[in-house]
Formats: sequence, structure tokens, C-alpha cells
Amino acid sequence: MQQTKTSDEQILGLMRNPVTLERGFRLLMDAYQDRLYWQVRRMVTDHEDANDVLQNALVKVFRSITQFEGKSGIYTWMYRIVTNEAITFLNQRKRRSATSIDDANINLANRLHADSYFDGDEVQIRLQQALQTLPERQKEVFNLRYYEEMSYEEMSQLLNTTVGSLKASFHHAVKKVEQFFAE
Amino acid sequence: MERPDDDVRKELEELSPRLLKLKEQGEVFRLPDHYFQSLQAQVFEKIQAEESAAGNRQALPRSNWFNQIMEQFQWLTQPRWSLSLATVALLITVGIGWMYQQSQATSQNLNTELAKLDQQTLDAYIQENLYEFDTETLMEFASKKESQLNFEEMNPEELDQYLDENLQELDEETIKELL
Repeated sequence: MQQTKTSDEQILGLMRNPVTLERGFRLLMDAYQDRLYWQVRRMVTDHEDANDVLQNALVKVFRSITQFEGKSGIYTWMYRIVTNEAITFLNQRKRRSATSIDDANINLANRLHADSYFDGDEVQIRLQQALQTLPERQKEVFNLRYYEEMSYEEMSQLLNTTVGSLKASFHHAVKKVEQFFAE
Repeated sequence: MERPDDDVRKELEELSPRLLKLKEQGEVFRLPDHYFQSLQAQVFEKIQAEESAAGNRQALPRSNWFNQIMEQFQWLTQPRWSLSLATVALLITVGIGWMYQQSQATSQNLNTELAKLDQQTLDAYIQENLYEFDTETLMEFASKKESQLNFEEMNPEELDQYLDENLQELDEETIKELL
């Protein structure tokens, strides 16, 4: 689902006017909340955590809309805010738990088993554990290609990286996941 | 069963049929019913809560202790004291500048003294303290030393010693010249 540039401009116009700010922000959320939610959910896995992270990020979007210069598309800008918020959350979680990689995998498996919003079997849990071992950037590329089915061209604009390096990143990620399954 | 985008499917078929199969099982993450309908309301509640909190902070009167401290330091703004402080600041700046110049002079003196030492003394020092020098400095030293060598002035014993130590690094032409 792609919001047209004209619609983005209309939304921005509404948001830059204090009288129509709220209406504009609601339209913005209507347009992109679904994609942003899934981006966060894939990173943090738990729905409640994803909800918290997304809300915090959307509040930041609301507060900083006047600073948006329009050099990138508005979705690209929001995507970066949301992703950074998710990474901050994950880093805080790692610092709080201070566990080894093996323990982190066990914790993840336990969380997913207990999660009423996760329907996957043991193999799907193993996939989530494998993804947890990937470097953040690689995981990001993997999620966008594997789950969102984003084209490399669109990903290149979103992440400001070349198509070639994104393909390499995805291929490496897939290889690492396969190696994890083989262990 | 979900059908992935053709491009992605072909890519996964080549890279990992296992991942393709997992993907075709469909979405494993769920979310509460009507989540997105309630999300907007929750976000605006959060914004309003932050604004209320910010509004409360701004409304708090400045505490008395702050005013008392400011009164204590009002004397700093008197001309007599502010001029004295400015003079002290100027003296400190001049002092720092003078000390810097002294250290530069010391460094120059050091270089002059070093230049007086003979090569043998310098070599001995370097050999004894080899591990204190980084590789780059040693290589620079070695290349300078090599360029300073005058083979014509070397006696046969010195030449033999040099060849023994450096034979592997020397090319054929240089070896022929030396011999």
C-alpha cells in the first residue's frame, strides 16, 4: 500500500496548520500505522512491547513534524523514527537482562510459547531465535524482504543504501539462518 | 496459504526452500481485534498527558531557595568586583600562553641536544628500547639509515656483515654492485 506523493503533501499541509494538525495526524496514522506496526513487531516480537514502542514513536512524529524538511518521503522519515525507537527498546532490554546469547534464545522461546498473540510452531520459534542472532541492520533487511516483500529498489530508497549491498545483506542473513537451523 | 511475491519466491527458492516453506505457512504473529482503531485514541491520550505534565511544570513558582542564592551572588555584578575578576582572568590567560611558549622552547632545545649525539649512541639506545617504538617509526628509521649508508667507505668486514644481515632484502643488481 503506497500513499501517493500528493496525499503526503496534503497531509503535511494539514499538519503544519495548528487548526488542522490533529486531523492531518489522524490521516497520517491511517495511511501508515499498519506498516509501521509490523516493522516494530518483527523487531520486538511481543505485541505489548510493539504497541508501547509504536506509540512512543508516533508521539515523537507528532512533536517533530515541523522539523520534517521533506528531503525524503514522509514514510521514510517515520520509518527511521520508529526503527530507532525499537532499537533503543531492544538495547535497554539487553542491558536490563544482561544474559548470554543462549539464555536470550531460551527467554525468547519461553516468551513466544506463552504469547497468546503468537501462533507459530517450534520451527517458527526457531526462526525467530535465528533472526535474533542477526546484526540489527541485517535483520532489518531480512524483515523488509522476507516479511514485507519489499523490492530492493524501494528498500534502497528507504535505507539509503545500494541495491547490490542490500541483496548481499539479505543473502548473508538467509545463509546465517540456515546455519542456525543446521546446528 | 499465502503466495509470496514472485520475485521474493524465486529468490527464496534458490537460497532457502526451507524459509520459503515457512513463509507460505502464513503470518504467525497476531494482534488484538480492532487494535488499529484504538491505537489513534491511545496516541492522542499520550500526547495530551505529556502536554498536561509539561503545563504543570511550567506553572510551578520558582522556589525561595533559588532567589536566595541569586541574592548572595549579586555582588558579582558590581563594577569593582567584575573588573577585578576580569583582570585575574587576563593574568591566567597570559600565564598559560607563556608556559606554552616555554615548553616549545624546551622541545627545540631537546632536538638540538639530540642532534649532537653520535649515530652509535642512537643505535644502541634504539636497540635497547626496541619495543617502545612503533613499527612505522622503526621502518622510517631503517629506511633513513639505509639511505645514509655509503658502501664505498665500508671495509670488507663491514660489507660482509651488511650482506649477511640484509641478503634476503637486496635485489640481484645491488648485490652485484656490492660484490
